[in-house]
Amino acid sequence: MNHARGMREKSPPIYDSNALRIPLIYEVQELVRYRFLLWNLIVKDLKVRYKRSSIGFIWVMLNPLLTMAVLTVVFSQVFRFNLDYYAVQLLGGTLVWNLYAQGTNASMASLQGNGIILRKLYVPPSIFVASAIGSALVNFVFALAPFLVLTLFNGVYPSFTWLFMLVPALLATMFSFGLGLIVAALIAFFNDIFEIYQVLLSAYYFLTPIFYPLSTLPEPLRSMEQYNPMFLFIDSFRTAVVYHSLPGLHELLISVTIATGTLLVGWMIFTRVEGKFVYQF
Amino acid sequence: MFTSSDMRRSFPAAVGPSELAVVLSGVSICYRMPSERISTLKEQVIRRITGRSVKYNEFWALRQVTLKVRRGEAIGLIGSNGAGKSTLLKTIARVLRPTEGRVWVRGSVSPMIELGAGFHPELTGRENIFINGAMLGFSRRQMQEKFDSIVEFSELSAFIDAPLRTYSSGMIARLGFAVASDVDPDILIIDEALSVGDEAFQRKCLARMKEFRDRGVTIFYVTHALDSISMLCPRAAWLEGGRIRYMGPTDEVVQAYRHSIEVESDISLADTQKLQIVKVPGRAQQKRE
Repeated sequence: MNHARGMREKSPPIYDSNALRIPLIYEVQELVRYRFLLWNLIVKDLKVRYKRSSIGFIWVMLNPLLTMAVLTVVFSQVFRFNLDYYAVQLLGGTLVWNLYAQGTNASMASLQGNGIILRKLYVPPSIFVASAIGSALVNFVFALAPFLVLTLFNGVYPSFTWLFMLVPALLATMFSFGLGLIVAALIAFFNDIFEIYQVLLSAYYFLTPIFYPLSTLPEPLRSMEQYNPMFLFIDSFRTAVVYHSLPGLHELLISVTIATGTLLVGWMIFTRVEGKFVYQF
Repeated sequence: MFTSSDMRRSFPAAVGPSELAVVLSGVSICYRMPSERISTLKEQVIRRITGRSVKYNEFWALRQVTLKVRRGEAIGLIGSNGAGKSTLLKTIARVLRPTEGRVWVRGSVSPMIELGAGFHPELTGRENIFINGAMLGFSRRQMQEKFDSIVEFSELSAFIDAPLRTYSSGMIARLGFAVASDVDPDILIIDEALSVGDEAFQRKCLARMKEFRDRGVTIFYVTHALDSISMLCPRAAWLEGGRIRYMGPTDEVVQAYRHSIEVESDISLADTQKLQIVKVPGRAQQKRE
């Protein structure tokens, strides 16, 4: 113990390849250890995206706002659904949906784009998926401000139930992370997952009552929606904002179960195959 | 070759003897390559349905490598192309997971296998230093402490806030070396990274590595420059066909390796074009046994 290099405050990290046999826990520790990299990757993503534009970070806010404006014009003029505060409901739903759609798509892109790094040095591979989800979450948070302004502008009063928005947002993030891990793991082995996923994603979008009310769905579909995670997240997000009410315990329980279940399954799949990524990219 | 009790005994316990830095025990790495590359799900499904199976070619890049390195040792690795040197380094750097056997590494590893991994052209030198340091597993505080000396060593302080795309390739390499070597690692892994920058910078790099060695950093050094290796490493290992063929004092190992090259080139003089193919790993084994 009385070595010359005793000036180190901590004992050095130990890598034992046998510990990789239980990657489920090991990878969590590694992700925590590399949190500074996670932070850097998320910031890098934002910076790179807006660095060369003259108004820079204003885009982060302006982008969702413009998208919202287009959606509102199209859907409130072209389609007319009998929904209170239609613009607010539509925008709220779109925000949560984008968090999911952007997050999972970016998960695939991130692992594919950074896969080459895995051949050069060690980083926990899940960090690329985590950073993709993190970026989507940052975008979501940035878009929240203009969304709330619009909500007030439409005549919805603020309430303490607005704070509950964070719960479905968190659940949607967990769900997206889980699914992002699965599709990212798949794309490491199959290039066409991206295209297949786009098709499934748009089908899923239209099957989820986002721009139309639940009541317009025919019966077998309508009762199935209570098990559709994205609908549950979006619905509780919107009712907290518009109707100032919280979801029932039953719906909340289903939401939490699906979100944590997906995250757990995704984590298991990803950590099981991540050792092979280095040969794939 | 290895019994399980052997394996267990050769490993330090969790808190183990602090003088060991790296222990490899019966480590093998197998690249399993499909003879035809299946890269889409569609192909995979079709293959399943039609019942055609995919054949795999196995390539064992490392075979049963056992190695113990004490803290502060500097090991040189030599051998012909494809002998497994880089694979060995990548195994220690945790880039590759062993197919068989066990790898045990104590301390932070700074891999100078490929410099500047994850550098982004749109970001400034400053931002890239932080990202690259983070990729090497360092925390924000550690990087803030190191930042000034990294910039100073790279001699790029005038350009540090310019985007990396404005750098020359030599400047990028210098920045990469500065980050990878300035992070006070316990173990340094060098894959001929010395060939960066101009001659003055190369000398600076070598000086830094000697400084590391004197400070007690464990060093793995892969090179083809057989003359320079003994300057840095008192001990060396000669790899051939994924096995350690000879390990010992550097001068002996280099001599033996040189001798084998001469013998080999005598054989291949008849057909110089087949120089690469003549090197059959099996031959080395026969000689040994």
